Amino acid sequence: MSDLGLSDLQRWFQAVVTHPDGISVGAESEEAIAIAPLSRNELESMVTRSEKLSAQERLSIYAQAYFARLIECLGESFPVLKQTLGEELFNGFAFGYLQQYPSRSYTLARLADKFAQFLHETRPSNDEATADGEDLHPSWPDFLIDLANLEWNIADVFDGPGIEKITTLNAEQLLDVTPEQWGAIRLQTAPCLRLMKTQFPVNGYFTAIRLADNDTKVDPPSPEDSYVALSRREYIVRRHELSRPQYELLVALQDGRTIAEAIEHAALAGGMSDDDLIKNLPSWFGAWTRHQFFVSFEVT
Amino acid sequence: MAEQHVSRRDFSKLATVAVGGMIAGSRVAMGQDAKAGDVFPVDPAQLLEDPNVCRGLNSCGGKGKGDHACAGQASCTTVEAHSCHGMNDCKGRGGCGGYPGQNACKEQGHCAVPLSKDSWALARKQFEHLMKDMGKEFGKAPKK
Repeated sequence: MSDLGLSDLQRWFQAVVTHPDGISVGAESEEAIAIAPLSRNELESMVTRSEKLSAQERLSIYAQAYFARLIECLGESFPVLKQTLGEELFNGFAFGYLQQYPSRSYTLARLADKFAQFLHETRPSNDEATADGEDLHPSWPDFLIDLANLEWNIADVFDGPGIEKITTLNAEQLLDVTPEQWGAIRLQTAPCLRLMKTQFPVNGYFTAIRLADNDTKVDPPSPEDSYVALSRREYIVRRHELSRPQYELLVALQDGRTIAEAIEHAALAGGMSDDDLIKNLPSWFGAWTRHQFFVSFEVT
Repeated sequence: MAEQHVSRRDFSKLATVAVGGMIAGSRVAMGQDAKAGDVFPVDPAQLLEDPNVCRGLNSCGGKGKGDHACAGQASCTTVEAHSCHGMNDCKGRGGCGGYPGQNACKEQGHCAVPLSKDSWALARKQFEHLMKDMGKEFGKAPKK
């Protein structure tokens, strides 16, 4: 048996069983060797064998359980993506992800941070790519990446800072500002407001999957630029479909532009006539205030 | 509606509409006004047309009630009073909702006329902004 102290033994055990390439490679990894300079054939000097299992097989039980739990956690973070891909394929992506981006945080809340990035980095080339590699149309991998991004953002908004314990905008205070200055108001958006642009209408698909019973098949949507705002009230993540002008307006406000600048930005971005923009501004700003998208304002 | 009254790129003036929306949203959130989800068309220019929905909102001398010398000094509403939202009989005659006196259609105003204290304060601010924007003069608001 090893003469290592408990702390070193624990660190060695962690280095070996969490190594993405398995027990043998883990035992010979830099981190493990630094604690106990062993080869893969010397594991039984650290872990005794049983009647039926070698030291490596016994360690593998923990290694498999470790990755199984992490893959299970990823599945819970991306339930709609998992349902869309099927369990086997999803688990394959998840295992590949954990090999590429091993868990490094003390909290599982950070486990999925780079999953959408991983899907993007490993996406197959687009069949419809032009000769110089430029994609012509969003395709199935883009849909999966959009969906993963949506689900990750939902989880991140849930875990992140919110408005439950702060005062949000009471627009009556705007009456203290002279009307000439209303255009110069800058709104501070809620810390939990997340604005997303996607190539597929994944928010609608997400809703359809969540509402569908097990026997109902939901077809993935066709590509279409889509916009959604995520926010959180009373610890529930709310999803709000946006039109492009709404998205542009909110992005500009979130970037710190004044109300007048933001409206101009939305108007210039197109997607809606000025007349329709004017007609819709009251209900948009009214709804966003009700939804507590804004927490305060300043006049510059 | 508004296209006749709001210049194409006057985004500062559009902020008036946006602020009205936020105030309406706040009031809904606090349970003071129309239920969440209510949407109604508005036209800020209606606020400058007579008849008017409360004191101090007449656009010209002689077009309001009571003794007054010029715009913005009438003592009371010249539209028919009503007690609740949706009971206005013509456009521009409804109350509050962030857009007092700016409803673009019959039965689409919110709340009572004459306006409540809070709605009047908002209407007066919007009235002053729009009048200044059009280069029109107006008098000091009368006391209630």
